[in-house]
Amino acid sequence: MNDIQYVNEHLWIHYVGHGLILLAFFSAIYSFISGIKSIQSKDQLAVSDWSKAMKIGYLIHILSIFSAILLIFYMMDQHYYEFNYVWSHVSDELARKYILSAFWEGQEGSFLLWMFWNCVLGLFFWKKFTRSNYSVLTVIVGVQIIIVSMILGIHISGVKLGSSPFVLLRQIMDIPLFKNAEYTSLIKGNGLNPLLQNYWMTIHPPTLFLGFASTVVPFAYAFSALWLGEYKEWVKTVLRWSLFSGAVLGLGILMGAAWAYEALSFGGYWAWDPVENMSLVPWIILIAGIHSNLISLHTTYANKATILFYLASFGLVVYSSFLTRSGILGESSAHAFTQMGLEWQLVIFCVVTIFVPLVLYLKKFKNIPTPSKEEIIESREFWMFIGSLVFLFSAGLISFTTSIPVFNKLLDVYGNFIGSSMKEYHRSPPVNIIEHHNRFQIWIATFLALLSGFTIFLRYCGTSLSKVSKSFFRNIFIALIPSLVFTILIFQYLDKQHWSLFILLFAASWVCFASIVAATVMIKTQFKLTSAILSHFGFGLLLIGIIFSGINKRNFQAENLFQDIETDPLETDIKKNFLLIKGEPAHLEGYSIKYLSDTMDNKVRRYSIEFSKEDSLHPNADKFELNPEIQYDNKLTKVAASNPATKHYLHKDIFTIISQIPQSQMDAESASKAEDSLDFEMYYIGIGDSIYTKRHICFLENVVSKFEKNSFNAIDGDQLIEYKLKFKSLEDSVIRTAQPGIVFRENLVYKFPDQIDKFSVRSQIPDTIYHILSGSINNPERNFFSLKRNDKIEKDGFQFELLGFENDVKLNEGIIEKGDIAIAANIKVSDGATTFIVKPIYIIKNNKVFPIPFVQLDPGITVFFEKIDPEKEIMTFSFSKNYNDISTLYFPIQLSENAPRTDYLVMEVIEFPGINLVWLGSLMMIFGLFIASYFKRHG
Amino acid sequence: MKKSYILALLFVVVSIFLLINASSDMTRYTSFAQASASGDEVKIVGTLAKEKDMIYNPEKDPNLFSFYVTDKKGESKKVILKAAKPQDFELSEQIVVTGKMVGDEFIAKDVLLKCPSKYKDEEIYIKSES
Repeated sequence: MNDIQYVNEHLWIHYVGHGLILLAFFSAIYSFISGIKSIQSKDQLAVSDWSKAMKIGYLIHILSIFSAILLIFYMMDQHYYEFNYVWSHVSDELARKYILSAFWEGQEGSFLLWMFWNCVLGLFFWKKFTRSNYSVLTVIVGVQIIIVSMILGIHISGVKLGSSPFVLLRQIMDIPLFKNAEYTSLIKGNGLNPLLQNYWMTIHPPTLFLGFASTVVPFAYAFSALWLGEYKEWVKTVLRWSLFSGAVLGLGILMGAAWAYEALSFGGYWAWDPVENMSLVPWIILIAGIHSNLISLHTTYANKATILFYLASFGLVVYSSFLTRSGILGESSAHAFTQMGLEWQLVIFCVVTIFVPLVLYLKKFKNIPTPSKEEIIESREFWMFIGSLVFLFSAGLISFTTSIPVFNKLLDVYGNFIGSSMKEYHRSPPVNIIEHHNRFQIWIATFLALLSGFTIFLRYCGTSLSKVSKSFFRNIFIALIPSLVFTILIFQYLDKQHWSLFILLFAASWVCFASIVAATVMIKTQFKLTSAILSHFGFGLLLIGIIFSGINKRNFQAENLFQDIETDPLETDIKKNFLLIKGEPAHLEGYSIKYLSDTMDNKVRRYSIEFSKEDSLHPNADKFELNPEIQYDNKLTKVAASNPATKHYLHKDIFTIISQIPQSQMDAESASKAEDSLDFEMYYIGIGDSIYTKRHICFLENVVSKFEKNSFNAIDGDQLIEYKLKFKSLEDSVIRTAQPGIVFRENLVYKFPDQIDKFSVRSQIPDTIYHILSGSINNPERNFFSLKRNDKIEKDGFQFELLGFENDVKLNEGIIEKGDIAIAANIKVSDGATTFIVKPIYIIKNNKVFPIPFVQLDPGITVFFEKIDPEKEIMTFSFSKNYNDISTLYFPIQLSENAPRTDYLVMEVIEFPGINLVWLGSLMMIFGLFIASYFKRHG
Repeated sequence: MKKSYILALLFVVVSIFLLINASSDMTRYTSFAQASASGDEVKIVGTLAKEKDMIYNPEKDPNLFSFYVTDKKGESKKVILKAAKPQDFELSEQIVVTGKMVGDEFIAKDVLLKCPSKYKDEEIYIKSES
């Protein structure tokens, strides 16, 4: 294949791109080694030389990463489909605003996003020369080397190292298309998954990746502390970074939850999906680290724990990317990345980031200073430390359950080693995953809330209880009373009133009121606490929000009209979905819900669903419309997504999502399958007559040669027929009309069936109508007439005008061959009532004449092109009448009387009470972290 | 004894307790035969038996969908899902059903589908001439 000279390829991008990635890789290695040397050198001159080298290496590295990113944007923007990455993620139809989303949709792009943030973060340590800055930067560059290797795209003795975004499509695919030197003009891109074509995909990944990437800073600080043996200073400087990281990662996770809630079909903001879990776990550990960091800062306790937490937090980020990128989650997650054959490389990444620091930690463990005096129980640090440990339980349990596929895999590896199958030892994730996680996390959250509520009133280094007791107990008391009252008052609004929820609700209110009390009595003296109080208050609100909107979310349930079908073996089942028929209101949970209409726009079918509260006193008090959507895929062949719509109130949300639509609207294949599965029966009926069908009386009111109900872009020569039918049910006197249509265009037929969903009747006009209306073409009674161009003639009540000729006659292939002569005449015909164009055709084939007559169904005449006199330019035509009186004809009609309805949808409606507390609480928590980070930076 | 030792001990005890408790929720991927025998709630990995009937009639009951799944031992059973028919159901390569056997039917609480990934084996699209 290599000897083909391809045209229109942009090979320079391929080479430059590869070059940039290689440059990024080697400059990172150069910078890393120089960094190590500069740290290890004793000689001042050598330190300065090595650090200079490191700085230059780093600069080259970030410039090449940034250039590579720009180059990818360029080739995506220009639609250079010869590149696999462009072909996979972009298409001609993709709007420009989604180019960012398309960039990080793939693994290579998201690795680059990660590296981009690392580069930016590194710059903060690049400028100022201090030993600690340089060792932090060295660690970051070290991590960067591993990440760059993920996109190297080189093969070393048969082993693939990384997957490059600059690889050409023809390098990874071997198909005949690439024998064509001009193949680039023939391919078009796959485009971005329609599910990802929204603004969340633009803002969520960069935030989340900044969160992920920024955990490398506390990691690097902790690592440096061990490496340099300096355990004091870093505790202060790292805090602003870990707070920043906690805030950004928290924001990224929150955006993911909001996206899931707003745009996806889970019906909630948190589903304990492995991908969600593994972004949460590093955050929890980071928060634990921040708390133990605060202890170390104020008391010199908890140094060992802080280092370990920060090391683990980044290790877990890497572990999380291994889980989501390696495809190992397969059976347990709905949304992980697609595989790309880098599994072993990801494993190495994990091993390096987890074991290298661990070994160092264990080696230096003894050197880490710890105060000889024990913490006293009355101190804030003691309880904060307990809190950090509880965070560990939370993270540990989530990771444990999420890692089940990894345990299975490890068993298999061991099985391979000893040569026996370990399949029987495999475990599957819990049957009810949400219930499983909630069971633990609710108690952990309760414990943390209770703990954080009173810990804030304690002091560092513990003034013993007797000294603080007065104000301590007073504050506790002031906070306790309102939280108890609040809990009792609010508990009755819960649907599920379990005692464990009472305790959780109390714990949540307790932390809220304790924060309020702390804010009023302590901020004056301890201003630093503001951010902590804000975050704790937010945590309390979040918990209250979760109790209401998460555990007490409520499905609108259809009344069980179908109880008789069978008894319900799982009695806990709720009837989540209900059926809505267009125009017929359903009555649920005090609302009248009506499916008004649906419209198709581009690739989206948008539904109008009207909700109105059934309140006889204020009929229009609460009336609104929601527009859930069904989104089709890029090729319009199947349903890609169901997009929910939500009505927001201050105290609750009403969330709607469509779970099913009629088969005929889902995709072309199902539609034709649905059509084929109908059994049509043929009836014949005259105009003004009625007939009995199986279940109805059918009356043919009229047959017209134009479309009244159906719409069709007709051109000259098209023949349109539409019936006007009336159906009456045999049971009652309800009457419905149907207007099926049919179009004949040269040799094509378009059918427009009509369906009365109320009666399950589908009617369509069969092709045979053509033969009935055209009568006998061989009717011997022909009227002859001759015309010149633009001449008119009157004959037998018809007026004919020869408008002109067409040489470019299109007919079925094979009828006209090369060398044949085919001419069509355009004749305007009028019978006084209607005017129409007929196009009879004259063909000369092997010196023989084949006229193709033109049949006009209404009024029924057939026109023949008989003769051409080229000298006098006189054309001879003839015509015959197909029928004399339309009322004597019997019209064929096909009816199916068990057609499935096409005017319904199946929908789920969920009420989320108090969901705004979830958003508000989370935002306060994150905001608290941000301002704490800001204060730590600016004093 | 030092407080930190008590704390560490407590930590270890609680951890072990929690992990054992959490493990009790884990199940095994089983077959219909085993599920029948035990009567427990289980997860079964299998494939959709495409040649057999798939019934979803929302006009009758929008929360009733039945289909057949062939487990890894090759046994096919009727599965009843008390929910709407999931999107792209026919395209699934693999199905994980969660629930239990009742009589000869598997009553599923939850179905997880594994669909062919977007890019795998995808044909290259050729621009149509226009």
